[in-house]
Amino acid sequence: METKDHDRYKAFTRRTAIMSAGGMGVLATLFGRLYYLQVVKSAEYVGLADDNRMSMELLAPLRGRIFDRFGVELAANTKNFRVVLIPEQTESVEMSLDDLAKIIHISEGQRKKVLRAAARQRKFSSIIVAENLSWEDFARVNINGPSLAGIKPDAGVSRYYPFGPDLAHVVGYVAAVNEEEIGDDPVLSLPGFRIGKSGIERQIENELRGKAGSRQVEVNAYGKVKRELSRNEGVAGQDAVLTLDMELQSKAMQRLAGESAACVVMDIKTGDVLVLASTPAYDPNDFVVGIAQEKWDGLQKDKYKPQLNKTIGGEYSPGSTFKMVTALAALDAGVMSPDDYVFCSGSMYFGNRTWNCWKKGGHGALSMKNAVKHSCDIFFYEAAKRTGIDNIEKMARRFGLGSAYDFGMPEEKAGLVPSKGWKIANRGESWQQGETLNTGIGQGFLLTTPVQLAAMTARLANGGFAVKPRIFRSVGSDVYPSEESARINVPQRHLDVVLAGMNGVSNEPGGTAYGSRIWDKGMELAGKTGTVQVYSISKAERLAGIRKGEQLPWKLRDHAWFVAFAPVSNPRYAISVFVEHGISGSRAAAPVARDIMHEVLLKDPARIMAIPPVASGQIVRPALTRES
Amino acid sequence: MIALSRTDRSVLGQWWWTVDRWGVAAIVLLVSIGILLSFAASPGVAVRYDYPQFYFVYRNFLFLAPSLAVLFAVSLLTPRQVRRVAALVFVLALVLLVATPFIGAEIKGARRWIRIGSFSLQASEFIKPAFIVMSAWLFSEQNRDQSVPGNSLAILMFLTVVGLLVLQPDFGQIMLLSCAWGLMFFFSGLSLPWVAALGAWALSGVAAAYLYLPHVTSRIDRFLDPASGDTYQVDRAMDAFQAGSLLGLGPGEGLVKRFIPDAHTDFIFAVAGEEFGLIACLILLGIFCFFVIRCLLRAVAEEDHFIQLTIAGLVSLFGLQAMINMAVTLSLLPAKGMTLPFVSYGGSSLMANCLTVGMLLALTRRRGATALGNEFA
Repeated sequence: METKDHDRYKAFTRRTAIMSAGGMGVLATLFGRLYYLQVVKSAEYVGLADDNRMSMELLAPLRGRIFDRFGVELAANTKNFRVVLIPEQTESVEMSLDDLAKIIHISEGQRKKVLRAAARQRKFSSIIVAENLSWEDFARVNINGPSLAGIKPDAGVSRYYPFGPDLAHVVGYVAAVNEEEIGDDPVLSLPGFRIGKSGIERQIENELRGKAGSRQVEVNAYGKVKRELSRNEGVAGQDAVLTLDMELQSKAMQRLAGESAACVVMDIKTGDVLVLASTPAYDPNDFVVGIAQEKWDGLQKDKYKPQLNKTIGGEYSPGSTFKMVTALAALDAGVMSPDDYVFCSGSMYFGNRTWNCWKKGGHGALSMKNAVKHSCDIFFYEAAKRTGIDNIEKMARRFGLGSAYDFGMPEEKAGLVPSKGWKIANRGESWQQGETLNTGIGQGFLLTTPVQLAAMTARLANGGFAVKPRIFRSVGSDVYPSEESARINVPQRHLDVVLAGMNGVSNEPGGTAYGSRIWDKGMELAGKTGTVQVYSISKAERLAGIRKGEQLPWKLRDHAWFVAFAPVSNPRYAISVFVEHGISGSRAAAPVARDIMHEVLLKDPARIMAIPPVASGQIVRPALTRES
Repeated sequence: MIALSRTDRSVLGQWWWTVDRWGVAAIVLLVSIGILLSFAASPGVAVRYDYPQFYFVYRNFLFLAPSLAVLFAVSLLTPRQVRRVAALVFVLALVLLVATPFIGAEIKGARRWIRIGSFSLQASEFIKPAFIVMSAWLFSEQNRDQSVPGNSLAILMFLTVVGLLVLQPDFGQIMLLSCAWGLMFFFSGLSLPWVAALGAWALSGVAAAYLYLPHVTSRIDRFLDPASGDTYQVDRAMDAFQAGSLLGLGPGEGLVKRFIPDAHTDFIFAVAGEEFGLIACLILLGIFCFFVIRCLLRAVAEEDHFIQLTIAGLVSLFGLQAMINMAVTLSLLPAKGMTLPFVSYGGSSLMANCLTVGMLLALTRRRGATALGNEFA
C-alpha cells in the first residue's frame, strides 16, 4: 500500500511535469501569436484595419447653380420628395407596394422597375419607388409611414429648371449617367447621380459638379450600415453667372413661339449674349427625371427639331444678310468704290446662264448704299465677280464666319465659308466662277449660324472690333471680364457705306424692312433682310398656279433672316433672327427682330448694373439699379 | 490591508491564514481587470442593443456580489463538504440540463439558456466543475479500493453529460469538458496505452461531430478556410490586435467593440488587446498562468488522491477555458461560445467560475494532516 501510494505520487508529479511542459507549449503559442499580431503585423496593419471594418460612402456634392446677369436662378437645386423601399424591412416587396399604391399612384412600370431592382440588389439597399412627389403625396406617405413596412419617405435634392423650355437649349439639362460616362470620378456611380448632358450643364460639368463628400460608416459583415462615424460634406459645385437677361429671353421665346426659329441678341461692345432663343423647345425638367418614351419619340419626330439649339447649332445659308460682307470685300479689294454705280436690269448673263435679280423689272442704277438698302442681287453678283472668292472668304472670316466661337455650349457648329481649296478637298472639283456669284449673295455653299450673324452685325456696328459672343460672367471665383477686342482692319469709311445701306433698309421708304422700323425717336434700328432660296418653283408648278411660298409645303419654303443693330445713332445691341422656312426675311423675320429689339431697348440691360461677380458662396440678387 | 492576527480564530481569520493568498490575489486581479474591461467594452455593445450605456456594467456588478460571496463561502468548505456541494450542484445542473432543450430559450440557433425573469441560466456552466469533482471522487474511490467500479461509473457519467450537451448543442463545452476530464485521467496515472486509446476516442468524437453536426462543420470549415463563410467576428478581432500594437490605443479608444456583437463576452480579449496592447495581454495571460501553476504545485504537494485529482481537474477546466477563449480570439482555434473566466461578461459563467475557484481555494488551503487522515482513512 505504501509503495503503491508512493508510485502513484511519483506518477502524479511526473505527469504534472509533462502537462506543465505541454502547458508551456500552449503558452508559448499564445505568446507567439500575440507577438506576431501586435508587434510584427501591427506596423503593416495600421492603414489596412480602418478600411476593413469601416466603409467609406460617397456623398453626392450639391451641384453649382446657374444665374442670369441679374441673379435670377436659371438652374436650381430643389427638394425632391421621394419614396424609397428597403426590401429587408418588408414582409414582401409586393405587399408593401400594394399598400403604398393605396396612398399614392404607382404605375405598372414603376412597380415592375422596383420588383426588378429588388430581385437584383442586396436586401438592405434602398430602391427609389417614386420621385418628385407633390407635397400632398409626400405628406400622405409620411403620415402613413409607420403602417407601411419597409417604405420610407425621403427628401433628396434634384435639379430644377424654373424657366423650363425657355432656356432648355442654353442651360441644357442633367440626366442619369450612362455606362460609357462612368469614368474616374467614383461619384458618377452613385445611384441617382446626374450629370450635364447638354448646353452649359454639360460644358462646365466639372465646375458645376463639385467634389464628392464622404462618410465613414460602420458596417456589419454584410455591408449594412450600422452607424455613421464621420462625415465630410465635400465641396459644393461652383455657381455660374451668365450674361443672359432672362426677362428678355422669355420675351424672345414668346415672340418666336409657333415658328421654327432662332434669335440672338448681343451687346456689340462687350459681346455679352443677352438672348439666345431657339424654338420650339422642350422641357429640360423631363430629362432630369427621365423622359417618357412617347415624349422622346415626339421630340425626335418633330420636323421643327425642338432638340436643336438653332442659335448655335443650326447652320443655314445667310442669304442677303451676307451682302454687307461682299460689299466690304469689294471695297477692301479696291475693285469698287463707294460711289460706283451698277445698273440692274433685272437680269444678267454670265457663264452660260442668266442670273436674275429678285426684282423682276430691275433696280436701275444703284450705288453700293442703295444696293444694300434694296438688297439688289445684280449689284452683288457684279461685286462678287469683280472681288473673287478668295477675297470674299477672307472678309467673311474677319467677321467671324466659318468657325465656332466655343463660347459655352458643346452643340455649337462652325458653319462654312467656301473657298477654292475647300471645294477641291471636299468635293473633288475645281471652283466655278458661278459659285462666286452665288456666294456673293449669301447662297450656295455658305453656312452660318444665327449667333455668327449676330456677331457679324456687332462687328459692323462697333466700328470693326472683333467682338466675340460670351455667355459666362463668372464660374465660381473665376470672373471672366469682357476682352478688349482686336480690330478687324476694315476702315470706318467702308463700314459707313454698308451701315448707311442698313439704315436705308429700315428707315428709308423703299428699304426692304421699312415696314418693320422702330418708331420711337432714338431707338431706331438698322438692319438687313435675308431670304434664302430653298427650292425653285418649276415652270410646271408656275403653270399650275404656284407662285408664292405659302403655296408650297413647309419644307420647301424659303428661310427668312433679319440682322440688325440699334440704336442707329449710338449702337449698343445687335440682333439676328432666323425663321426656318419663313418665306421672306422682310415679312417673317424683320417684324420679330423689331419687336424683340424694341424690348431690349426699352430695358437697355447693358446700362443696368448686373450682379457683381461673386468670389464664392451664396449669390444674392441685388435690387436693380440703373446707372445714371 | 486586512490586519488579522495569526491567533485570530474567527472564520475570517482562519480563512485568511490558511488560504492560498497569492491565488486569491490573482483572482482579485482578474475580477478587477474584468470590471475595467466591462467599462471599456460593454457601453458600445449596450448602445447597439438599445440598452442604457452602462447596462452591462451594472449587470456585471449585480452578478459580482453574489458570485464572490459564493466563492468565499465555498472556499471555507472542507474537502468533504466540497464533495457534497459538488454532488448537489451536479444533480441540480443535470436536471436543468435535461430540461434545457424543452424550456430553454433559443439564442443564435442553440438552446443553452433557461430564462428566469431578466436573467438567463446556462446549466452547462455549472455541470462542468461539479462533474470534475464527481469524477475525481469516483477515480479516487477505485484507486483506494479496486472493488469499486469508479472508472466505469465515471465514464458512464461522462457519456451522459456529453450526450446532454450534444442535444443543446454546445460543442465548445463538450471539448472543454472532455479535455479537462482527459487530463484528469492522465494525472491519475492512467497507463499510456489507455491514454492513447482515450486520445483516439476523442479524435473520433471530433470527427463524428464534424461530419454529423452541421453547426460544428461550418465553424471548423470557416476556421480552416476563412473564405468559405462569415469570419466577421474573428477578422475584426485580428484587426483589433493589430491596431492595439504594444501599448494599445488607450482605454475607450478601441473600435472593435463597436463591430463585434460579442465584444463584452467571448471577444473581450480582443478589446483588451486593442485598447491596452500586447503588454496588458501578456499580463492577463500571466495571471491565468500563475494561478494554474500555483494550484498544480499545491496538488503535487498534496498527498490525498481525491484532492490531487480534483485540483488537477478543476484547474485544467479553468486554465483550458481561458486558453481556448484566448486562442479563439487570436484565431488559433475555431470559434466556440466560451468566456474568459472572470473577465468576460456573463452571470452564469461568473457564478460557475466562482464555484470552481472557490472549490480550488478550499482544496488548496493549508490544513492539518490529521484532518485529512480522518476523512479518508
